[in-house]
Amino acid sequence: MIITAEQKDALLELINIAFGRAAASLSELTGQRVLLNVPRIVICSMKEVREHLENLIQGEVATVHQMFSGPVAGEGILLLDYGGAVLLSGLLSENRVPVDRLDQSDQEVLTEVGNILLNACLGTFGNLLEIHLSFSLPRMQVENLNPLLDSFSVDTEGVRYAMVILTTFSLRDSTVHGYLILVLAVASLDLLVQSLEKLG
Amino acid sequence: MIAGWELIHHHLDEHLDLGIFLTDSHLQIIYWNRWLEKHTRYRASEAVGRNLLEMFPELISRSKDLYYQKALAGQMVMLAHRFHRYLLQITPSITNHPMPQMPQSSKIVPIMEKDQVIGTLTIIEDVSERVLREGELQNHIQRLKKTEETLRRSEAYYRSLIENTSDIITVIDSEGLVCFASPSVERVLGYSPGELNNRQVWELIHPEDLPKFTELHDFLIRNPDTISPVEARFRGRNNSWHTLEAVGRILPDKPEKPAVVINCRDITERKQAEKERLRMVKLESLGILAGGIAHDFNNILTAILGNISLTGMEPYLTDADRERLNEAEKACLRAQTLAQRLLTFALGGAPVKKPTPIAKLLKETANLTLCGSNIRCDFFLPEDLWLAKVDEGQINQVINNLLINAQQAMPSGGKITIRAENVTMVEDAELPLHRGKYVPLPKGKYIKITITDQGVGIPPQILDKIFDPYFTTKPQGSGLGLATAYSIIKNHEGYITVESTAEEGSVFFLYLPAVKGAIPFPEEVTLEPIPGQGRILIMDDEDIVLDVLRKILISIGYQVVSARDGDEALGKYQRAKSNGHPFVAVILDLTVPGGLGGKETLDQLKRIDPQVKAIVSSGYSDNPIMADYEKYGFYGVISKPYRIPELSKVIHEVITKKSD
Repeated sequence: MIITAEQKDALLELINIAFGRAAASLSELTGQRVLLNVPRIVICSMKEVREHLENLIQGEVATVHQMFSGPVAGEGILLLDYGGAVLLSGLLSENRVPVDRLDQSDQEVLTEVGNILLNACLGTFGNLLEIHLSFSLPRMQVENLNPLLDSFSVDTEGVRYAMVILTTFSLRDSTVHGYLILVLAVASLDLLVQSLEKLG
Repeated sequence: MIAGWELIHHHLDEHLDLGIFLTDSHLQIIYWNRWLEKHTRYRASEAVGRNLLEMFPELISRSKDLYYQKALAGQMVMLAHRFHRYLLQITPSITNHPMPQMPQSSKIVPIMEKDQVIGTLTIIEDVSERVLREGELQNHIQRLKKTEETLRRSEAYYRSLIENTSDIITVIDSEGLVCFASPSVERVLGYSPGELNNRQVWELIHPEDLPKFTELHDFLIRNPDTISPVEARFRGRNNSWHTLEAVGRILPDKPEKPAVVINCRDITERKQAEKERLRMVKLESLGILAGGIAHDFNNILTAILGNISLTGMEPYLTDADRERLNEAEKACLRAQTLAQRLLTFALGGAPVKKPTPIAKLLKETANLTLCGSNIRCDFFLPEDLWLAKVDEGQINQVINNLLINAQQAMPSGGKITIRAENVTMVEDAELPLHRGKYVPLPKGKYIKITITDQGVGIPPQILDKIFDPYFTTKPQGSGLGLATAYSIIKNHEGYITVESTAEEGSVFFLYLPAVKGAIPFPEEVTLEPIPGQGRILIMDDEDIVLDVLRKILISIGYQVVSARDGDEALGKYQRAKSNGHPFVAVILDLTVPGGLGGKETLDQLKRIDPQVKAIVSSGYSDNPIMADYEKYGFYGVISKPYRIPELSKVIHEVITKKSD
């Protein structure tokens, strides 16, 4: 699927608005300034996700999955490498002794963060498209990257696309990189891209 | 089927460990489960039909109502305990829980019907137990981190102790391999610490010391609870030997792989200082003996020399007689030199030090000593040399001894090089000199004299002993030459040391204290006796000395009264003064066994006659009183043995000197 530079700019602007809202929510929640930046967006087929991710992230990853349904349906995934997940959870929590493993409360924190990001993003899209989306409960998982990427590649029909949003969390003088991946049916993505035209 | 759902609902309501309630889109409660009845103060019958925010107004004050707004807008809401602590105010389920409210994780789910939100479902999980455990785990981790930090600091502290100690700390395994060497090994032996790792420690130990070191190592391995000291020589990186005092103990925490920790201290300097001290003690005891012998010898020589001189004055002697007397006198003078050499050992053999131009002394001594030999002598004597503060006679003897040794080391001839240079010691500590050898000199100016020969050299095993008294390698040697040199230089507060290479030659280094000042004028020499007159009192415990001295004084015009000790001399001086026949001078022997000596006699004579003109005489020519006689009240000094012209000159000077 081809997306024009203008459409991409409009998409980036939209996501920045969504992330601005998410960052405000996180700042309010944690009592400290949280910034979210989107340096890059890639739209690619599911088969191509691997080549975009495997050079940037490896091994064990922490993911928050959330399904959404309605006129536009798909799956949202917040993907962090394990070390990044531990660091982000620590930075968002008060008075935590730095550790190298995620406990259950850390996982809850990341689930809420993933939920806020996906809601903000998909909510913004919903508003744009003037549609209502339904969400499943978010699900936090620690898994290996490769099986996850393999599951993406199963899309033999090539009817699903991924929007990979490189996300940077900045707080307490630290930065954590993550990826928000929206997996959409090609029709849903097309609908979204067409709607972007209206913004222009 | 409905009955089935009701059954499931009933059991879920009874047993589900979660709080669940439903509201309509106006947040009117329409369902309140059993768990909530149990943990809140509300029964279902009380809750259902009421507005949630009215029942729990703190939801508004804590801004949690916003999440219900979001849910009603269709969003899924997650409320993590760590961010929100709790949703509803509920008493904790665990007794004595540290938190006032039950810790909760909650979800608020919008209930949809045809794209419309018709209500909310709230699920509350009690996470009290988990929060407690996670808190405990955090505390545990914190304690571990603290312990880790304490250990790290402690490790850094002990590491810094090991790195900064002047001792060498090493760990040697059961095979003798070096497992660890502290950084000080570089300062002491010159090796970098890593360089010694996995090297056999035996390679570094002097072959003679190896048995006792291996014995210690084996002993420690067999007896883990003991600490044992040992002294051994270790080879430095530059192949020099360093004496180290080592204390070893087996490492207590490695019983399965025994290793010994050895703490070594460099005692090379201490050993050298100890050796110097022993040498001095040896010299001192020998000095006492030598002094006594020299004293008696000088008394005998006084009698012999005096009688020879007196006999020589007889007019009837033939030329042959005079020739024999001359030979006898020469032999006496050689014997006097020998006695003088013995005296140099004597305790407190104080040199009479004067500022001396050392270049002239070196040249004259070398020319005289090496005259007629097959040895060439090269001098490197800069013109700006300072004056040496030395006893010219004694230093002459030192140079003479060194040159004779050098000459004997080159039987087929060769070259001797004599250098002198000004040096300044800037610190009280050692001067880095000969492969780190200790130079025990205080700070100040010195003249360094270097005498190099091309002889056979001194074997390394005897190099340390050559300054010991009676140590000699020559069949006819006395073993006193270098010992005398050593003693003289020590008494001058200087330093002497040697380096030698077999078949290449030896180098002697002398350090003599230097001063800045004018060159003194040489003294005049009197060859003829000076006649005189008047009464002279002589005191000596040796009859032969008294007899010859009386005869000499009479021969040059004086009247003489003799006394054998101080008491007799005092009596005779008192009577002579009372009778109106006072003495013009008194010659007192310095040491009288069992009686008043010269100094004590003079002290008492001064009470009788404060103007008494006394001359001190002794075979102990190096006695401090002889060197500094005026300080003790004497007018003159004469060392035994003496010849008539020297004696007459001293008496003449004393008699003609004005009284104090």
